[in-house]
Amino acid sequence: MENESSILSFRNLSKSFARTNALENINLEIKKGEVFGLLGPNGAGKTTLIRCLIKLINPTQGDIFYKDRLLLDKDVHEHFGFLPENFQPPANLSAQEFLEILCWGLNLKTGYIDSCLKDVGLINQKDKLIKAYSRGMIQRLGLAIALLKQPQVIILDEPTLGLDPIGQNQILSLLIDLHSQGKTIFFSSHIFSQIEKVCNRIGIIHQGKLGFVGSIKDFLDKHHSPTLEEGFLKEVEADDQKNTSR
Amino acid sequence: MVHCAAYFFKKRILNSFLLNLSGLAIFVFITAGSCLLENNFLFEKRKIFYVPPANYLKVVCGSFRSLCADLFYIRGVLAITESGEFKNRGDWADWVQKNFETALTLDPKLTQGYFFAGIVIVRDKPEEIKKGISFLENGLKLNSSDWQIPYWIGLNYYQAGNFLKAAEYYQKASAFSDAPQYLKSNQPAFYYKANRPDLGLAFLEGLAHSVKDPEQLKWIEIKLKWFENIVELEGKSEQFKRLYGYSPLNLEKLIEAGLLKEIPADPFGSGYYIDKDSGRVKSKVGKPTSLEKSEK
Amino acid sequence: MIKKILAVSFLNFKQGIRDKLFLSVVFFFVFFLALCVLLGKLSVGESEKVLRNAGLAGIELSCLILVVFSLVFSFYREKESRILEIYLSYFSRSQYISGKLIGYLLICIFYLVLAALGYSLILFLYNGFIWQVTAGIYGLFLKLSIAIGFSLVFSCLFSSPTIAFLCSLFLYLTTEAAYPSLKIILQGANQFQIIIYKCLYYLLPNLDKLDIKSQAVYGELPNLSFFISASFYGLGYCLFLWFIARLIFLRKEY
Repeated sequence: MENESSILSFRNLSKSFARTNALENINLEIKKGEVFGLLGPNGAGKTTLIRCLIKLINPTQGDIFYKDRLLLDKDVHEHFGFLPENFQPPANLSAQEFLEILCWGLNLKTGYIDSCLKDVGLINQKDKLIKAYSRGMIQRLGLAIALLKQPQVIILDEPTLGLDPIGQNQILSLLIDLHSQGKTIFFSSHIFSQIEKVCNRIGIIHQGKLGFVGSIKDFLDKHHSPTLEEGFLKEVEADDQKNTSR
Repeated sequence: MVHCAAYFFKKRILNSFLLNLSGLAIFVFITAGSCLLENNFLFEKRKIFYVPPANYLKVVCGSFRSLCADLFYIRGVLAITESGEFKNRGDWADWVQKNFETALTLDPKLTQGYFFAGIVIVRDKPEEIKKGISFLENGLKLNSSDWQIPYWIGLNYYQAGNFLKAAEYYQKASAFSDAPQYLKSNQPAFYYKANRPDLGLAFLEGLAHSVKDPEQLKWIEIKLKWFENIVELEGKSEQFKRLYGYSPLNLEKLIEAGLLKEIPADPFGSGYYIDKDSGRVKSKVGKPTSLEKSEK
Repeated sequence: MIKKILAVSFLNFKQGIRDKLFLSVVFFFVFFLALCVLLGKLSVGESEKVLRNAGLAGIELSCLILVVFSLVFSFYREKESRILEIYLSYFSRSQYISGKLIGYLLICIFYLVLAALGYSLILFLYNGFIWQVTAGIYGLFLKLSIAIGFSLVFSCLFSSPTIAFLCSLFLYLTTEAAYPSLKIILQGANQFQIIIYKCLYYLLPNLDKLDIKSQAVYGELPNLSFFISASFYGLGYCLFLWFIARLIFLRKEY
């Protein structure tokens, strides 16, 4: 029986590429209105899981449910906002032009553009060409693109990657703001301080398998560690030992 | 402090100046070196006088065949200036014609190509004229829609002294709707030169029946009259020769012999006479008197 | 749905015409026009014809390089820069691929119009202009639309942009030389081989049939029925290639 407040659920999700199992039997539920942080070392399967969620790739096994029904492409197009890792928008357009065309294509009101840009702090640079943007501005633009269709679920893959501390703080503030608006946020990161600041619940993924899922407090209690980083390292170590003993 | 600043400032200017000077020196050195190389070590470039077969070019060029034809056309035009590269004039003519042949196989409508390869490179020598005629006759098979090609063949035959053939090709050229009128009116002269004025006369009579334009008809009638007079005078001259065993020295002799009542008026104004070398009746070509009168 | 497709096409169009490659090709064409003038001066007696011919060939080659290179490398750049993932979160795969095709057709038309203006100006200055050359440019558009279609198919099929670019270019060049090659091959072939070669020839686009450059430069044009059938063939083939590209793209994982 599903939790009534669950907006997304992954059931027995697996994905393999040739002989490599990128994801193995993932079972996860994301509650409506929560900020869920997905933690894991490089190559753990975070991006693969997100790509399955956005339907860029098809899982080998299992399903993803959105609001208790099978996730469709239409749901992604209408209700999901997505910001990939390290993305680069078209350099020869300005933010205004780019968002205007997207708005027009989706039959959205052009008033959304200014409000999105205001939210991400790019309203004064909207007429500048994107090639003149800094890395931080590009990430904020990406967030504006994700928010343009006023999505119910926002999926972010390493949103603060490559940003300086000021940029990282700006993004995190935005996420907190969005959370206060009742948006469901699913993001992956390996910057623990950010996870601690923003997330309600976390999931630890390692070698394609989901280890811990729960609140940060429960995680710290489990490993008797004062910091998330220490707890994470213990979790990964324990997982490695389990795999070697098999 | 001020002295230090001044010192560093001067040093900077000096460094900048020296850098610019060395740049200039390098430039001068390179230019001088280039001249030295050209004057002392310039090797004579060997030209390759090769034209690929047109059939293979057709495959390779695809829809750019016409452009390829243009490039070979240009090559042919430039080849005309390369006569100094060949010891033998015949080899040079072959080289020019090969380029134009390729160009015209790829694009038969490059009319001027036939002109260059069939007329421009041809001089007075019979073998060259033959080469030009042969090229143009092959060209006629590729392009049978331009009046210029048979016209140029006719011109070559005229140059070779084969007036009947010249007239034949002029006739072919004049049959095209866009051919100039003078092609029709020049043919009788060729028949005359080929010792067949009767054919010229027949041609003009046929032409007079087919032309409707009054101006052209007037001109043809003048020419017809002129030709009829020539035919009559030459006939009388032959008769004189049969009677007396020698050709008459002038037309007056024909009157004296009673073969002619009077020398007919030359519509072109200058009068008929017998050419001493060839024994043919000729006239000085000028404006027809009837046209001169109407203009006055 | 149409709006979404057009949104993708406008994004591609705007990005394409502001790209450095587009400007480079425009500059290259300006220099090429200067070369055409020189070729015209060298072709004593046929200056106007050579000028028209070289200009049309230059328009075709420069536009071919532009659209094939631009489409292939923009496709891979979008993949590498992850903007493709954002597009696919907004638009369906069909809409994306359709928009890409239309966007590049628009870039092709835009470039052809610009090139035609420059080319016509030069022809006017050298007394070589005849209106039939504009019809020749329409024939080029039909050929290039097929080239765009092939570029799209190869971009979807291959993971390497270099292979996709080379395949597109060589296929274009092969189809240019297809008809005369077929004539040569058929001379020594048996009945079975004749059927195979002919099937191959008719399956591949017959670009030589869409090309009217050699007639247009002489002021001759085929009749209206040719233009209608050529348009149907060219755009129909392009649609067929779109269908294949879509089929491949729907199954690809990014």
